[in-house]
Amino acid sequence: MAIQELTRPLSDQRIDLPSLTTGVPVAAAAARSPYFVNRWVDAMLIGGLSIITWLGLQAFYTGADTKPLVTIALVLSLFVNFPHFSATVYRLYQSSEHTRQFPVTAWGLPFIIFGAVFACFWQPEAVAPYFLLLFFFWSPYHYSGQTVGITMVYARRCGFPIGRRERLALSAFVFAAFVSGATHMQENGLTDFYGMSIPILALPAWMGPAAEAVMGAGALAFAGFAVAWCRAQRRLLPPVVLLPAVAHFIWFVPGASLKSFLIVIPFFHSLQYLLIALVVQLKRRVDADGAERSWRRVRAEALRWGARNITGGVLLFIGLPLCFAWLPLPFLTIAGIIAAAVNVHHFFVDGVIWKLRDSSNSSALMINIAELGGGASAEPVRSRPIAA
Amino acid sequence: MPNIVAGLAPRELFLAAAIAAMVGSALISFFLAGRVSERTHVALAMLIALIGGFGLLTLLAPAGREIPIAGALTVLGLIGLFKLMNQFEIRRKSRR
Repeated sequence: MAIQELTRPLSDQRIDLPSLTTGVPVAAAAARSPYFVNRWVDAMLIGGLSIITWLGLQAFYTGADTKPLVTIALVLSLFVNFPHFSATVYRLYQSSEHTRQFPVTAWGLPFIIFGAVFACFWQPEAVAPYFLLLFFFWSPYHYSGQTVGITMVYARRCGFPIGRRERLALSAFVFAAFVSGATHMQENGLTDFYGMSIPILALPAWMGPAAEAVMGAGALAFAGFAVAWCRAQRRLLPPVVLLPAVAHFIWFVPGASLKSFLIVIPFFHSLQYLLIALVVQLKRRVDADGAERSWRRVRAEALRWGARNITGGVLLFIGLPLCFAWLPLPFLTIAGIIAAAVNVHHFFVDGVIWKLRDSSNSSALMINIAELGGGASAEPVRSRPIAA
Repeated sequence: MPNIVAGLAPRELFLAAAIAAMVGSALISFFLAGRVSERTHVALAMLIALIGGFGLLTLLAPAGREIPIAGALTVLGLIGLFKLMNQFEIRRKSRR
């Protein structure tokens, strides 16, 4: 998710970004809840569940047989992974005003993506493996962008200002973790996708250690900024600010050597995304209708949005491949190529939908879901003060 | 003409198609001059970079499977391409 872009004011930005740009009063931000739902739900969805899963797999499931997990992951995909792709498509195409803002993304890009898909069908040996290689590297890069974005959202909510230096340190840590993980996966990780082989690059021996060195430097620098903030504020930084980066580290550094865990990483990425996308959608709908806020309305809108995205996800990942089932290729190959194409399309669409001239984008990233239900923000920042 | 096409390797055929797509995108940008915003022209230019980047990947990545430094350059090139595509169709600050 390109949420981090919302923290960067644009030259002709028409939307109101008071809470997310530079002029945020720290005290005002800190007076609100740092959570979208509450401490436990946010912590689990943003990264806690993935860390618990990794610990569980590490303790009880280190075997090479990943079939049971693949089955579980496929079932979960219907309700989490697939809808996460559908949610971006829905957000871009749900109004003509949105598509007019990004005409090339909305109408030009699908032709290019379909062109790549047809090239893969036409030359499954010469082109498809490299399209998968493109997706294989782009996917964790995209996850890294989301990690940085979500960290910045929670930092802002907690009153921890992220300037240029903090952002650089955080990005160095997160993107170097991705390079380290991708290097490791190329050596001995997941290299097949829907039964197709992803080409393995021969990488120099120094690449992994170099990425880890950058990652370590970034972690140290960011930790330094966090400690300096804690000393100045005389309180501890709420752990949720660091949770996305810690989870990301688990996904791509120790998790990269656990094949069973690699299968479920997309699920956790999608969970993070859906939490924030749901809040943005709810805020947009509640603001648009202008009616009285109530939990009943929140539930109804959430169910409607969820049902649409589950349907959309099934259409993208099952319906679309079925349209090409007549081709003289194994159905799994067709489904894999389409899945990679939907992913690549998502990376583009996700990059623009968070820049829509829509005030709900920015303001939604600062609210608590209780506010949409008509109540007050449930849980203001209550980080522990540091003893003098 | 059919003999020439038949003599091409699958990868060469794909590269020919990719070059045609790049020419097509450039022509669209040319014919839309003055009718669409600068941001749209930049986005079309980025599509050309994407198609060209993917063409290069299919052409050069096989070397990256054999030679470590070529593999490292492929990864760095991909990261550069992703970073560029991150700016796709966004409003940019004017440099005055």
